[in-house]
Amino acid sequence: MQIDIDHLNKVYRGGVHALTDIDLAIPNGMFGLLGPNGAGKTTLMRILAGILRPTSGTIQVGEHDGNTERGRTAIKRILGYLPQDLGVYPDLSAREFLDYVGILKGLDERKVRRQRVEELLELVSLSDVASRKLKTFSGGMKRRVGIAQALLNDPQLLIVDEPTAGLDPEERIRFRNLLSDLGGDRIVLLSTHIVEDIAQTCRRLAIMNKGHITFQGSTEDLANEARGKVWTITSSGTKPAGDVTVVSTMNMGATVQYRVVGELADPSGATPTEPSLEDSYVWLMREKRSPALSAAH
Amino acid sequence: MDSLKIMWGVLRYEFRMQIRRPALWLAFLCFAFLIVRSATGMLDNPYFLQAHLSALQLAASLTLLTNWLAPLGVGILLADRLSRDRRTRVDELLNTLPGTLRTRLLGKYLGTTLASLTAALLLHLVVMAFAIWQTGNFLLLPLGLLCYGVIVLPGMLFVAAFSLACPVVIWLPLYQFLFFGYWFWGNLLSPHSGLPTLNGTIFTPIGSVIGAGFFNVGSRGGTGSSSAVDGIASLVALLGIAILVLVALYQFLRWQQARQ
Repeated sequence: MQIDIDHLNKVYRGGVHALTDIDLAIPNGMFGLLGPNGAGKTTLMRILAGILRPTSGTIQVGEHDGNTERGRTAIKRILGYLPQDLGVYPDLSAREFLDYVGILKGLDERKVRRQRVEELLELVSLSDVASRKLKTFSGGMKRRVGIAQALLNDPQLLIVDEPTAGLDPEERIRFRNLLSDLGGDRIVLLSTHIVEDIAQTCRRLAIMNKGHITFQGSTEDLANEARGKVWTITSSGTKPAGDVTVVSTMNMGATVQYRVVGELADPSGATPTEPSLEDSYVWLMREKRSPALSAAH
Repeated sequence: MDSLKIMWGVLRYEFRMQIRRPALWLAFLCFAFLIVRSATGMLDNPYFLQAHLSALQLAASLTLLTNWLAPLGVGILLADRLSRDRRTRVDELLNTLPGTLRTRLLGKYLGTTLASLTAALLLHLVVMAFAIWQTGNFLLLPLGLLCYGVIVLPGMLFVAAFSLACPVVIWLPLYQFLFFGYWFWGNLLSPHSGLPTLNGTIFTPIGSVIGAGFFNVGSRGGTGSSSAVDGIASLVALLGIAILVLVALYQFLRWQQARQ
């Protein structure tokens, strides 16, 4: 299955352009959607999930046309969606909530549904607290309930919006591994502003900024974008001069080591460094903030 | 995908969530206290005793008495059910699910209304049990249930439909405040008070027109002189308006979704 998005635009009431002429092809497997807050990622996710209607443009999810009511309903049948801020009924237990969502997803057979709920509670390690009310759950536990509800119908398209935001490192690793496991035989669309999440899970990605797609390709392609632009430089504390963005600063005691992306005023003494995904992301964001592009907006 | 099964599932969960609310039981406990006190006064009233009411009329009178307050609780406690979905952000998730809006809405309406009606029925049974204890007439129980179905249900379904729908366009606390005012103005204010009121018309959800029309009993402030035709008209009007309100709510929510 593949998602094809062509010339997609979304203009909110009041004339706010959330998405501008988005062209995107999303193949099977894990696909990352990276961008700063306010880039338009959530709007795109919500359009794909059928919550929002696009202003113009087309969406094709496999054989289903996302622009028609019939197509949207068909997409919803193969969709698992984990919103950025998952809402739950606080007075239901995790088991009840999953059962309720299962009913709404059309899992008609009570026995099959209950078995599926128990399997997923096991998968997300919530079996022992499944009878507790959701209002007593931590953010990480709710997120796990969220992924469980998204998987109830064994979706061919799984959309997860900022799934690791607010999770502790251990939870984040667990969540990333879970998503990677799921990405084998379906489309998993992972939207995040955390580069590390993409680096660890996705082979293909797109970068969004201010409602535009500014990059789409593989993680290797992205890393290559900043090749020759990343430097490590050690100084007594003076920040490196030039058109650079400091990616990291490490205090070594008497000296300070800087990792920078961009054009140094004086490269002598600086060591060219292999770019990471984060370096390339920073480089790309810098490029796209250039006055020419800003003027185009 | 079976829409009926989905609706039944929604109904069961909405019922469960509403019936578990402590506020529902607290409200009806207070009502029980007030109504049993009023029933004591009514059954001890020499005028009332001299009226030689039949068992059916006594059951109908007690039902009308119960209905002074019960719909008020139902209306106020049901009003937050749709806004709660927005407040808890569950609606975003629900809108991505293949179960249709119509199915969800109907399941929610029936489930939350049935849960609230369960509390109202228990209140009614408490009052009937008290009357049986006072009069020794066990016939009051089945007759009371009959009166509950005829007098209480149409008005409750009417009130529930408005309480589900109106807070979609009105700020919830404002709706609850206005509903509280409406209840006393439109149902308990005597038509002879000089102030215009809906009380005594077929649009009175308290059931006074139905009670007077079918059982020839009047509630405090009610007309007590309606015909059976008026009773049928009131029943049809209340149920018809409830259906219209639900259809309008569904259309509005669909329109709202399409605008997003």
